Amino acid sequence: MQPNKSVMVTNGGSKSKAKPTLFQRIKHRLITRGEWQLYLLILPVVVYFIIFHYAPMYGIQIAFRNYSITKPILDAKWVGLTYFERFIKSPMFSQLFKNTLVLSFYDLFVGFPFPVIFAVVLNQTQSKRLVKFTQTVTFAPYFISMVVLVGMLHLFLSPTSGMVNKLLETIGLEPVYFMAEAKWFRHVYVFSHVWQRTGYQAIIYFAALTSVDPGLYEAATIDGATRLEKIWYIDLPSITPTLVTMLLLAVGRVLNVDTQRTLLMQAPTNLVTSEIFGTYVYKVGLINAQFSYSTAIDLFKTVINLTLLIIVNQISKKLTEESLW
Amino acid sequence: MSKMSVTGRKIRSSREDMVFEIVTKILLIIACLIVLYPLYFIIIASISNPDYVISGKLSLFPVDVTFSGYRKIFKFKNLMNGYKNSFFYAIVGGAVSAALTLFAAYPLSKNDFSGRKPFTIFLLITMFFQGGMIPLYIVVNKLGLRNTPYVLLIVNGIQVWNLLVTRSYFKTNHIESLSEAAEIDGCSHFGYFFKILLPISKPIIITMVLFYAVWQWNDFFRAMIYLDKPDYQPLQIVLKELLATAQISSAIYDLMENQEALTEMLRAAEQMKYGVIVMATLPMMIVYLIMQEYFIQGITMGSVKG
Repeated sequence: MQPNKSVMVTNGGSKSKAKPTLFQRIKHRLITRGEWQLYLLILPVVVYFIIFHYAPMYGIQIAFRNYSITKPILDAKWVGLTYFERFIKSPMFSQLFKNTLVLSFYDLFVGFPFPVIFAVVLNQTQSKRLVKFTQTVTFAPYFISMVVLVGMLHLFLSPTSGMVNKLLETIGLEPVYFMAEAKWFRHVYVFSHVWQRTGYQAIIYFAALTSVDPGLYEAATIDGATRLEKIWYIDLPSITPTLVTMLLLAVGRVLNVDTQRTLLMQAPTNLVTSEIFGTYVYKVGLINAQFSYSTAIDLFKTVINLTLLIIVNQISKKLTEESLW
Repeated sequence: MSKMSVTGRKIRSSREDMVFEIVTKILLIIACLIVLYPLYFIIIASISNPDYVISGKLSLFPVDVTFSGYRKIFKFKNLMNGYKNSFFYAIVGGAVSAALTLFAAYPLSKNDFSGRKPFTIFLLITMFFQGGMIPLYIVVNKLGLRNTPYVLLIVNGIQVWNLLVTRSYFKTNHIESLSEAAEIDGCSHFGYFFKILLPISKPIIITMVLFYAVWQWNDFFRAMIYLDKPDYQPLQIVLKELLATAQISSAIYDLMENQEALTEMLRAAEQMKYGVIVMATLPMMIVYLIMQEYFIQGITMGSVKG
């Protein structure tokens, strides 16, 4: 153990001076109370965030400048909203907007009920061993990398050798080019996501359900409630706060569709539906090296996301008293 | 009369319970099968004769077992190099990121820390507003970090979410009362953090190392952006090329003259794909099965607001 001096000096220090100056107060906190140690502990992370999060925020100004990588940012000519105008007038604007929103909401509405229902079913099952086993199994796909997942999709959905098309063949249907046709992209995206994430997302809801007071169920049984009534009146209300938080976070990310997943699932033939903000920003910026234009599109997306999040959070605050901050 | 109706209700409810139990059990078993069958199929396809796999004759048991696919994989230098790199990123990245996360989470968990609020806001802002892909790329590029072995450790560095999870762990009751006791004893912050807090925080330490390690192991996008030389490329980049290459070659298949050799190549490629998927996923699956409790704990802690 350390010697007892900090407490001693603290007491002495505060008695001797009635009104310490700002400098003395800071010195007292940092040195005497040993807060410098706390600052030192957090320092690496703060420096990290300054360099890799705040410096890029400063770099956002290239969206308003004609930037090229060879010159410093401030030397680049200020062009105002030129790039934003160009983007809004380009045919890509409506396509990206539509694709991103449709994909996102489709994913949200299909993807959201699955883990909730799954958690409720898990919670209602009496056999603890089956519950444990199912949890272990369904959480596993979360650990499969996106590259592997998309590789699996290509193998299973292959029009010549994939098992899904073999199955369609046996019932007399024509093979479907799931990974190439534009009309299939969204379905494959959303349902492969459900396959990969349901077990993972159910964990949070399941945890909320297991913390429900068992007395509530007993009381409900005495009152003659059916199982479905218990689910409706006990289970669902108990996970509502978690549900609302999750929904808020999801809506705040509505334009942040998983770029990595989408990019891997893209084929030249399905771009009509699969080109989204993230993949387009990547292509314009890093493949075509149009840094300023790409940043403008990215910023546009971030601002809309943030606006949506704030609006949804306000509505939620009013309606359910649940809020993110 | 009233007695009758009570017993009637009881019988009804117990029968209802039974039906309910059967239905939920069936649902869970279906869920398990939907998840397990594709994974199982990948494994048996990786050791079966590829002809059966391609013609769709493989269903429940491996046919004509052969390990030639795996033998070819082990001879593939790029893949082995990617494997080595990914282990490096997962282990070093997991350790360093977790350490820094723990360091920062401790001050943030102390209610009387004068920097608590400003730093929390400073970190939270980055969750909702980011510079974006290109500005970050410019920063990384200017610092000369592209194509270095550290770049992935850095760009996949600290996640605010993990910081919040760790902070809420440090704020749980039994730890907070311990902190008060240590303060009364005149223990310094360093002394308390390193000698008392860390030794009793094993669950959160393991959880953080695991989260960051899995994150590093599975990352593809950032590796693609920041590494274009094979020396430091992780497994996922090599995998992407492997899983995509054969697709391209099947498209140009008809144009080739020596179709027999090509067919043989495609056969081998098909089997290798399954083997490669197994090899890439196995390490994480093993870690998951051993450490499952820690992952679950980490996720449930994240949902606690505070």
